[in-house]
Amino acid sequence: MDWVALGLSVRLAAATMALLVAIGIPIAYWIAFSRWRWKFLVEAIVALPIVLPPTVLGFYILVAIGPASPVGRAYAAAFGRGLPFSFEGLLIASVLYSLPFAVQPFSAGFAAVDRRLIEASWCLGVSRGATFLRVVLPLSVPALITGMVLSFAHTLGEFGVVLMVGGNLPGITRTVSISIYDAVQALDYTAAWHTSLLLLGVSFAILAVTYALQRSVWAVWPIR
Amino acid sequence: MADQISLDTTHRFDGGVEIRAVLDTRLEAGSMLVLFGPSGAGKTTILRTLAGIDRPASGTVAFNNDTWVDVSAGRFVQPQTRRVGYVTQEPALFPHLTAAGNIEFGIATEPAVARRRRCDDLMRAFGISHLAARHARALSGGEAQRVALARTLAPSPKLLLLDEPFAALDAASRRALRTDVRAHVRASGASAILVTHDRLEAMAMGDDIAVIAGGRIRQVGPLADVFRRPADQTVARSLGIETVLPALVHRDDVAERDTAEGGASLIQLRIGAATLLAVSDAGAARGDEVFACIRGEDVIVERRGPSSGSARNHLAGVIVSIEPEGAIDRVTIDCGFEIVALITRQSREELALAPGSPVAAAIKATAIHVVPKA
Repeated sequence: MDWVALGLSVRLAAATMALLVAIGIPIAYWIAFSRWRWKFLVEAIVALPIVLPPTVLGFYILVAIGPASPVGRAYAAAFGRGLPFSFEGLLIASVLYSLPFAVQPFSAGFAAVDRRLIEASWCLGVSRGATFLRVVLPLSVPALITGMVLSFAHTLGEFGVVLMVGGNLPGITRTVSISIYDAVQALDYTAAWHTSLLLLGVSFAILAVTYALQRSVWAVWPIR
Repeated sequence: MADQISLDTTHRFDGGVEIRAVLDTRLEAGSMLVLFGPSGAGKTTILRTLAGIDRPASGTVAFNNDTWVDVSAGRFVQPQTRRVGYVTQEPALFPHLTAAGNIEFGIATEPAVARRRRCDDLMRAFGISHLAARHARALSGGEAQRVALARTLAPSPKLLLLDEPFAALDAASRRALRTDVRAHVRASGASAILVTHDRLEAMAMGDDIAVIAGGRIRQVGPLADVFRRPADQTVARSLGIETVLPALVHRDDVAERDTAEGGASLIQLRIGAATLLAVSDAGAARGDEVFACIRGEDVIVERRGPSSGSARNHLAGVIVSIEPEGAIDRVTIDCGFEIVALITRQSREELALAPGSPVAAAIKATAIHVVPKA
């Protein structure tokens, strides 16, 4: 059992989830309420990680954060080390890879809030921002939980992107799914069994608890 | 202080439908203007435009000296800064808050003590103090609408917009809530606009009435005046009642009232110098100020003979005018007050009626509809 890899995976998933709450809520708000005619282009970009092979996504991220890119150079200049094959690089990749799994439930939740409640709040003199915080967010709690659970679970199970961006450095970028892959490659089936079973159990437990707490959580894309 | 509302806007809807809304009127403090018209006439559009929820495609909206909307100048004042209260047919309470939480929603920035007091006062005024801690989802329709009204009034709006707020309620709570709302508007000094397609509600609530058809206000004026002198046939047809007379309940015990709940009673109304018998199911009591409403087709016009003076519900008068409306003639009779009768041209010719003819107007007690003022 690779406890180091499991700990790393949980850390990565938790950090990804936290970042996605911060980044995903504004994006989801914009998608839910913008009337821009080209909005569908943004929605398509956000949804890309669902259909793109993880290797393609991983490759582009690797190039984008590599030493040849402005982002990579700026990061190296600021912190004295590169982003690829580091935990931070892996975090950036995970956030992008799980973006639709947070943004889509969030925006579905926001869009499902009764328009009349929002209008009532505005007419009571409450600003758009405060209306979002006091009406839309509290009424979207199930959707927020769904998005958080999905992005956590999705990060926990990612493989291709991690391999492309993070490589396989124990304790730094070797996540639990890579560790299972390594164990199988090394014909260490016992370790692969144990780790796989643990991952299965953890994933099942998270989803079961989520479903138990609320019904109909798997609304992934806004239904209009 | 009176409020001046000037609205002239064009609205475009999906499917290319375009309506123009025009409203230019003055509201006395504490008074209520009824926007009356059939469904789809554009009443709600006018309210939503005043509230700032709908953006017109073109035109202007002004309240007193503030220009709220001027599309050509790119001006649009957000609903938050207009200080307009808007109540719809559906209460639309915030489901995650209690009744008190809903009422205090719009005054959250005020100090806690002032907020509580304001909330308590409003809950008392609307008889919902016992519901303070109740969750919005656990309220009945009538309770929820009372909370919604209190919530809207909490930030002391300068203009109150009511979009059929009583339509979803049962008759008893509707009557009670009308009275409470009317009293509160009068006391607060805010002007109010009520949208309704229910002419009895219009009469019970309104000081002034604006008759709307096809998005356009056809006529605005004091309630009884508009009913008595509709500007055109469209207005007359949509009002449906030709005579609306302010009356006083003189006796409420003419006949033994049916002991069963809600039974109608026979009452005696005093209108000017005349007395009329009427049937009331609204529980009017002696001394109440009411409207006596009479449809033109329910007024029978007779040539006045020497013997017809004493008959019950016969009013002696003189014809003021006769206006043809298709096959029907609209006959206005002066009996000390004006009554409008709708009669066929044939019977008008048979009776040889002309302006100045002495006639008697006969009205059955059951044809007089009594509407108490809220």
